[in-house]
Amino acid sequence: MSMNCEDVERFAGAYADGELDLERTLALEAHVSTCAACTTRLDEAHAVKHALRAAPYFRAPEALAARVRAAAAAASTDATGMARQANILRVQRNRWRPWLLSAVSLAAAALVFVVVLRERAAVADDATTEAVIEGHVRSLMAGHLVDVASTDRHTVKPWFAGRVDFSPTVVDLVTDGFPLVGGRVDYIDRHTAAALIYKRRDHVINVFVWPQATGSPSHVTRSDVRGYHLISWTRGGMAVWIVSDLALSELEDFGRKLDAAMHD
Amino acid sequence: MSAVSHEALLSHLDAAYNLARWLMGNPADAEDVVQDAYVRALAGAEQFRGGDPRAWLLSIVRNGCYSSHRRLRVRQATDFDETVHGEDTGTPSPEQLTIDRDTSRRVRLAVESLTPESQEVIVLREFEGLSYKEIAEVVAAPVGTVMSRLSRARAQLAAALAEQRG
Repeated sequence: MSMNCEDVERFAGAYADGELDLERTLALEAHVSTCAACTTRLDEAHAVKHALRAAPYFRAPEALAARVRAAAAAASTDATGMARQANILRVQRNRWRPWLLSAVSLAAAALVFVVVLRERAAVADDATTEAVIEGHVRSLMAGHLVDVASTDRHTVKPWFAGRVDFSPTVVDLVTDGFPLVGGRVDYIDRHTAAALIYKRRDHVINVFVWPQATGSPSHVTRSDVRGYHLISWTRGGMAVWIVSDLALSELEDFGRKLDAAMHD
Repeated sequence: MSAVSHEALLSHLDAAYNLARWLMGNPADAEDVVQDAYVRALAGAEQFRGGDPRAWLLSIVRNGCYSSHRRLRVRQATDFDETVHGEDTGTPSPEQLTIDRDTSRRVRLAVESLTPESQEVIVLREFEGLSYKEIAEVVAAPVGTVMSRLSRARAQLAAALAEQRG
């Protein structure tokens, strides 16, 4: 793929937003490196984004927040959402009930993963981060994405027996929109790793898994390097690294579902 | 758990209000739209099936803004009012304080000069940090359309900012 000035004009914003796929990113960068006009164009795209940081952010006034919370409390006591008006009167007596409901659903939702994920942890071990990106890029460039191509986890999991000295958990996320593509043995930062490959539309997601003895609880890190998003955590004695050029929010969604399914 | 929790919806209140505040152009209408959107979302929370709760909520807010505009017939072009400026923008961070007030005012005017179609993609992308896919969900348009609307919106912003500089 190659790009001309018109293509760059079209994709400069998506590039500045980190929303361009790998192939287009490389083509755009190749063109820009030889074109002064398009270099200026990219600078302008970044300048507009930068200028917008000065815009005000409107937070909800406290009075509105109070009304919305009251509406939520009323809806909690009445799952169908009907007759909300009548229920507002009952809220006084049943005040403990929405609180209890809140506590229970909060506990269920607050998987350690989610909570820790939100706290932007410091950039993970640089050497491993680089190795994971290299592994990802290598798998795309060499046309060596998978050693075993299968969308069936019952085919992929046994394939690793005898190839790695641990048994990776392979989960099916096709109903979540992340079909399994296959598996591969890789070598990441002195670890023999099981690589599981998933896809989201045309985006490839590499999941690297290797045993990691650690006493610390699940420790989630996120990083953003050269247009790739990485998320990693450790659970059940296994280090898990996921990497893709997918939008961060989608990769986070994938990470949550993967982590939940692996420890179901 | 496919139904969206009320806590999840409540956690996006600022995002809902910020979007409505930009699209409606004034605090009173924005509050009305947001409150109405929450009543709808809370009533529909049990029926919510998958997807991103924030995008779902924001799409309800966004549709509320559009139907409110239709009711009001004409979108009042509110003149910039210095007394209104910053009325509910929260406590400025130290970083914000260093940005000179004039810059903030100029950027605000530029964003306010956009059409709602351009404004909403800028707000969702730049102020809320939504991915193109999430924006596509909110505005019910394909991702490619989101990309071209953002391009156009940014070109309009660049022009508006340049014009202010004279």
